[in-house]
Amino acid sequence: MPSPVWVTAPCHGIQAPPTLLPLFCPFFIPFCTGGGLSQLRQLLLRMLTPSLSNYTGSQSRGYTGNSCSEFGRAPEVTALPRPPFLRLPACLPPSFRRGRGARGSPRCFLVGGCCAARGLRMSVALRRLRETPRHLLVCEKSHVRHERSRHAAHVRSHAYNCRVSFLIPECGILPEALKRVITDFGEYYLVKNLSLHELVTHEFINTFVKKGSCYALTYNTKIDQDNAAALLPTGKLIISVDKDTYEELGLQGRPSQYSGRKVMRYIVTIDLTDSAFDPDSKKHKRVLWALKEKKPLEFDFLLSWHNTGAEGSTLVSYFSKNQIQAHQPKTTFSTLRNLQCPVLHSNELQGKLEESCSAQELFEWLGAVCNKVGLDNKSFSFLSTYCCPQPSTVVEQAYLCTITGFILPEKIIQLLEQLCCYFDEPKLAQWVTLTVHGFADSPVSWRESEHGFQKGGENLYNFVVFRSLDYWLQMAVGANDDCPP
Amino acid sequence: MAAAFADLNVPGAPERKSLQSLLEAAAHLGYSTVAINHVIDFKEKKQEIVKPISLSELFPSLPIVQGKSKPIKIVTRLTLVVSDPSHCNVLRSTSTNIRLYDIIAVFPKTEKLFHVACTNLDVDLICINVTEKLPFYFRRPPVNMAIDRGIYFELLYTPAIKDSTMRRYTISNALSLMQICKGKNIIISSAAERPLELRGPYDVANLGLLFGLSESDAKAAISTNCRAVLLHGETRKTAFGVVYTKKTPRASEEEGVLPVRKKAKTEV
Repeated sequence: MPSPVWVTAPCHGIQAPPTLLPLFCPFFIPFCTGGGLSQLRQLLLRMLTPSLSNYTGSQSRGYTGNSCSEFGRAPEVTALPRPPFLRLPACLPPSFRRGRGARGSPRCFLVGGCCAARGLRMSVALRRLRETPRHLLVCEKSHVRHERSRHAAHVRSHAYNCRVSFLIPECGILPEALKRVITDFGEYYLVKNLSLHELVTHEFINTFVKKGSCYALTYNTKIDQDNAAALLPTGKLIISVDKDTYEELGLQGRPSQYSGRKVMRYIVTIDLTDSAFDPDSKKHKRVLWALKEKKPLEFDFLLSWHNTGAEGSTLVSYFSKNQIQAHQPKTTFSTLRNLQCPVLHSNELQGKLEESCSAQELFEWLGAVCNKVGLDNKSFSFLSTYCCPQPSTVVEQAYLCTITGFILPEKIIQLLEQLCCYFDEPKLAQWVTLTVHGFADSPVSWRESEHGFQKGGENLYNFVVFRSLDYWLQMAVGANDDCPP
Repeated sequence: MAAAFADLNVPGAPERKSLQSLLEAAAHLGYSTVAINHVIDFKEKKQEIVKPISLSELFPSLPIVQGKSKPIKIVTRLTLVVSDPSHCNVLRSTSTNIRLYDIIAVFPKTEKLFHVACTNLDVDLICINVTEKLPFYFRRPPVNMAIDRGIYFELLYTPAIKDSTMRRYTISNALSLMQICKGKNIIISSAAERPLELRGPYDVANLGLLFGLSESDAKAAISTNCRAVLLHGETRKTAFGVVYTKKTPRASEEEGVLPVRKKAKTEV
């Protein structure tokens, strides 16, 4: 069996071309024998590769080598040592523990990814090498038209999205309606060196936050090193600051969940739409004083505003003195020829031997397809021995479209609706997928649950819509994240 | 000073150009702070502690850290290789150039000196030998004492890249240290002589797993722990980390000493 490969698309900021650098040299491992060898070797390969990426200039976020995490830390999703429910994090809502199947239509199961050490005698340090970092993949299944289906709520609660891609098998040319949605994805704005106190002024709150959904996220700030801020459409401003800044800032916050032995990061949450935050209140004055005089914070912001009624004032005119730039989401299309696709049955989330593939297998496969990883499983390939899960069919052509930018959830819901309408006319495709990546450096993932960056910072979800309009929703997070809703 | 990534060991090469390219590579990889290391080995004769390299001489403009708009921060570091107790005397004298360095590290060669360094010496870092078999075992009391005093242990990774024998020693020495200190008070730095030997911070954290660190400890070893080392070094220039005096350049007026200023308490 080929070793499992978990490919995640890099989502550090907007631009991050996935590059695979085929520069590896075999190492002699002097230290370890037995079962741990292969993983040790993979780790070392991943780590100690003399890389030329410094000189090609194509790299992301401090990794010397390849930007996809395709080596070593592969979650061993094939072997779950214990029943997955034993490993539910404490943060789960109680309804989850009861199992959603009992309450209504959506059913779900959860896959924890830690691989326990098998009973080999080895030191603690070595045993730790056999474990993979925590990651979660939550899958659920429902019907798009079901009254209790929560797909729109899930999309809406994931506020910051940097990349949307959808894959349609057996499709050569996009239908007009879909094309229209893609071209009308709305623009977003980049404001450089904007002081944070401008976002808490009453003029801003009354013009934008209270009249629609206003999205703002700091750009080019790293959540594990720098200060960052985000304005949610609910009107909550979340400021994630390091210890030094927090001590100078003079605002009340709470320590970050993921700061290890010593608290080095604090989260300050301010509700801008709260009634206690009116112009004359003490709280407003304090916040304004802290952000304006005590510790002026300046960021580059990505901004976007979604409102239903047509209003005169826009972000461009409001921030005209701050050098606001408008950007369009970037769209790339490609047609994949002779693609091996896994066979899926909408009723079998866990898959069935010889009949259909499971949701996890599909998730892995989709990552490989989106990153253009070869699926041919050549024995001499040193880079990847991944191949399409079985059973599979060969699809003559598949349409893959990727949109990158600061994408609003409202637009993703529109796109999802259109993808469902794709099956209105008879089509050859059994299913279509829609994958959405969140920003790796945003302070929140779903709703207001804190998001951190251990090594990947991935927070993404994927819809598989079947011909019958049943859908699977897969939500995945990395090490420093709450369980998705 | 945020918990950004730091590489606290970049050898101070005699040629300016190679140092420059090293610093540029470090900035490109995402390191926000880099310490230029000056090594003094007392075995060789006539070693004098020179003044640290001045940064304005070295760089007219510092390279910008990748993904940030700030330039890289450069500090100076002095490493004393001690093989005899008398070598430590230089640390006690007050008037030498030692005071001008931001970080002071010792490289003890014997168990006795390791004990002295952990318990008595006024240093920030203790280097762990990674290029040969350890001449002694780590014992718990001195290591715990060092952790209590806020002194950090340094592991280098460049030897592990260069040579397979050294890699063996690096990993085994690191693991034997980790059995005692349980992943606390460790920093990992490069000692890279060429830009190609530098690795990105996340890769170094990944290597930390091989040294027996946990995920979060490995990341702390290149970020928060380095920050603590820098703050520990800063307190040496102050009185107990509380009072700080500074001469003003003005000659005419008689305001030699600035008012007492509070300093942030260091992470210990």
